[in-house]
Order: sequence, then C-alpha cells, then structure tokens
Amino acid sequence: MSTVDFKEFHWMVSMINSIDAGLVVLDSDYIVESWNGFMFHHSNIDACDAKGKNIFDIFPNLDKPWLLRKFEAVKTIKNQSFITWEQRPYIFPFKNYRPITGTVKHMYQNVTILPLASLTGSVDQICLIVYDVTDIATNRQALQKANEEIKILRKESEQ
Amino acid sequence: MTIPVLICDDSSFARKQMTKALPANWDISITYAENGEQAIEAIKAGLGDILFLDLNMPVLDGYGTLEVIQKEELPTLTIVVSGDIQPNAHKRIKSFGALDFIKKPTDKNKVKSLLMNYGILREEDCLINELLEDHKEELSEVNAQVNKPLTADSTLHLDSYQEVANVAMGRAGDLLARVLDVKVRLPIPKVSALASSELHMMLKSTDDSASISAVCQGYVGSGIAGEALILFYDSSINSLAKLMNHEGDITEAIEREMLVELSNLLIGAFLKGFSDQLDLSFSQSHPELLGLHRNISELINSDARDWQEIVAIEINYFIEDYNIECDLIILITQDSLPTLNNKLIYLLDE
Repeated sequence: MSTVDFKEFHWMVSMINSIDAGLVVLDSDYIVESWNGFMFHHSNIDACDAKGKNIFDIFPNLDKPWLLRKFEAVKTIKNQSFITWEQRPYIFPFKNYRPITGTVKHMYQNVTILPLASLTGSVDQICLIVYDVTDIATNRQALQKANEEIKILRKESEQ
Repeated sequence: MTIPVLICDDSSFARKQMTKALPANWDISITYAENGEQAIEAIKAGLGDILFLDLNMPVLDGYGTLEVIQKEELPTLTIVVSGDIQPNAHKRIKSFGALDFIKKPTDKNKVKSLLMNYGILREEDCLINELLEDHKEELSEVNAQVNKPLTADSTLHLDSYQEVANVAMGRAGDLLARVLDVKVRLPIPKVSALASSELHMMLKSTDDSASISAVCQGYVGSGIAGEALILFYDSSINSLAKLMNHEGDITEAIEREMLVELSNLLIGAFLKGFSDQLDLSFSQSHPELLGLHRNISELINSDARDWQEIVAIEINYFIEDYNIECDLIILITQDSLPTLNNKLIYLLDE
C-alpha cells in the first residue's frame, strides 16, 4: 500500500469508526468482519473481541430465525432491506444514550441491511447500519399520547 | 542532607499522585497540607523548603498562599501543580513568586527535569540512593503489604473522582478562556453520590428560582455511560452574546446557537480531559436543547420511579468581569461505577 493509499485508508477508517451510527459487516456465515466505534461504545464489546465471532453468539437474544430470513432475502434479491423501530423497538440491546434523564431505558433503532457485492458481483457479505432513533420514537409516542388525551378531553367537553 | 518537601493539595488523591511523581531515590522528608493555611504553618515550622502547591483549595487557595509567602518572605521554593492551565493563570502565578508550574496529572519525568533545571535535584542526589533503588522491589513489596492497597469494590472513591474532575475541569475552563478571551474563575468541582430520583433536588439546590436554559448530551464508551448537562443562567445571555460577537437583537436562534456552541466547548473538553486521564474513549450523542428560559423542574424529567445510584460532578463556571455563569453537570450511571472505580484505582496505583 503506498503512502497516499495508506493516508486515505487511515482517514476512511477513522471516519467509519467515529460516525454516530453502528456499522457491522458480516460474512456469509454471519461472522463479524467489521465493527465500528458506535458498536463498541454501546455494547462495550471491542472490535478485536467481536471480529471472528458469530453475531448470534455475541447477542444470544437476537431473534435468529426472523433475522436470518431478512439476511437471506437481502442476499438473494441483492437489494437493501429496512427494519424500523415501529416493527421492533430495537435489534441490539443497547441502552438509551441518555441513561438518566431519558424517558425510556433502551435505544430505539432503525436498521438497514445492505448487500455488499464482491468484485465478481456475487453477494457474500452484508452490512448492517444501526441508527439511534430514540428521540424520534419517544417524541412520536408522546405526541400520540397527547393526541389521545385531547380526544378524551374533547369528548368530555361535548357531553 | 534530607530536604523537607511540602505537598499542599486538598485532595488526598492528588497528594498521593504528586508523591508518586517525585524522583524515587531522592533524599527528602515529605509533609502534607490540605490547604494554604496548613502549608504556611508547615513552612514556618521548617517543613517546606520546597513546596508543591495546588491552586484550587478551600480555606486559603494557591494564589492566597503565594501572596502570604511573598509578603512574609517565607523561605520556600514554590512549584505550582494544577489542572488550571489558562495562560493567564500561568503568568499570574509567576508574578506571585512561584518558581514554575506543573500540569496535572503530574508526570514523573517532567517533575524530575524541572527539579534538575532549577538545581534543586542534582545527579549525585540520585546516585547516593541508588542502592535503595536496587532493593526497590523488595521494599515496595513490604510496603504493599503494610499499606494494603485499595481493592476494587463498589464503594465509591469520591476523592479520586474529584481529582480527575479537577484536571478535566481545568482543561475545559482553559478552552473557554481561550475561545472567549476572558478569565474564567475555576471552582472546586462538587462530586456527590445520589439516587437518580434525587437529581431534581440536587439541581434545584443549584438555583430554584432562576430562569435557565439547558442542553443535555449523552456519552458512552468502554463500559461507562452518562449524561452531561449545561445549565445556563438567563441573566448571562446578553454578556455572552457580546463575548461571542453577536450584534444586534438577541433572537431565539442566536440563543440556541450560543448554547450549543457553549456545550460543544465545555462538554467536549471536559469529557476529553476525563477520558484521556483514564485512557478510554467516549462517543457523544447530539446535544439536545432541553429548553429555553424555564425553571429547572420543567427542564429535567428524572424518573422518580427509577432508583439507581449515580455520581454527579457539578462545576460552576464563572466568567469574571462579565458576570456570566453556567453550570456543567456530569452524571455517571450506576452501571459505570465498578468499571470507573477500577480505572481510578489503577491510575492511583501507577
């Protein structure tokens, strides 16, 4: 690798590592190949410890059959797929970024599953992008709750 | 000849750290003082030919101590040891007669080279005791058995939190002073353990009536998590706008801008200072504006049903001459405390 390549590699890695979203690359057997800073900070599992391990061994409580269906579909149709917090509040058991004054305990997540095509065009790896959407989720829920209350109040005042 | 050395710091953690930073085989007798008054008594009693002096202390602070030493012409060579690294402070202490300045956390090699530079420590001083050095391991084993080391348990060593907070606070204050080009008065960080349901009460005691604006930012990493809060007193808004060069009317947009900028600065610098000392890294959430011009109980929803023991570090920054006041509050979750305690013990034992 030349110096220029290496420099580019260095800033690319530091960018991927510090972005405020989780990035995980899994090989065809769902072994972790890449694990960024977000995943490390929120799970307290170091990249060195995560790499080479099966994602379902790292998080034994994941809904394996359900997730496998999603993963396999992505590989087959070679198209990305989304999991939103409204389907399941979270995939990975992370705590709220605001663990003390936050109104919920866990981090709500949106997850994107990307197929990673190799140079030959076959999809051997997938990438998971994990977004923290706790703010959106809690705000939406608070809004819904407020709307319900308005409805009740309106009914009461009509009677 | 044995040299009487005096270490003056209100934190026992800092005193220990300073003691560990002294050259290992230097023929000295060490006396400790917890504040300036005790230090002055010790110097008068001939116990402090060399004084390592902290700046932020209760009763009589470092500046006050230097003043007394100068006025009464007390026979001591003073080296200031502090987390307060504002350029202004540096100049000020030299004009108060201090020999030099060492930044916390103290580095063994820096202390040694500084002592050499001023001729306080000579090569031969170290040579004389080289024999002792050869038996150091045996000696330290014996010592370790005598002074049983702290064990990693769940009890809180608030003192060491205090010291780490001091250094981090100094860095954040330094940044603030540089960016705004002002003198920032550094307080003593207040470290307390409390139930998260008591958070309200603690914050209320900061100020119950004042109208404030607040920003909150989560941080997490290496098994340690928590939140950082900036409480900004509305009475300071106009002065801050002037300092940050916002001309004309202060709109809400400008207020938001200033608050987020202030929190980026203070929270970022504090967390960096904190994590650097403990050799870990944090990721920070986006800052969230909790509200403008409210009273504290409207801003913070701490869940009263949630009972976890947290540690809070409160720092009240005050910008002299402009009457600007803001509180930086660092909250640490219960889950983080065992990890953090381990780290602190390691830092202490090094």
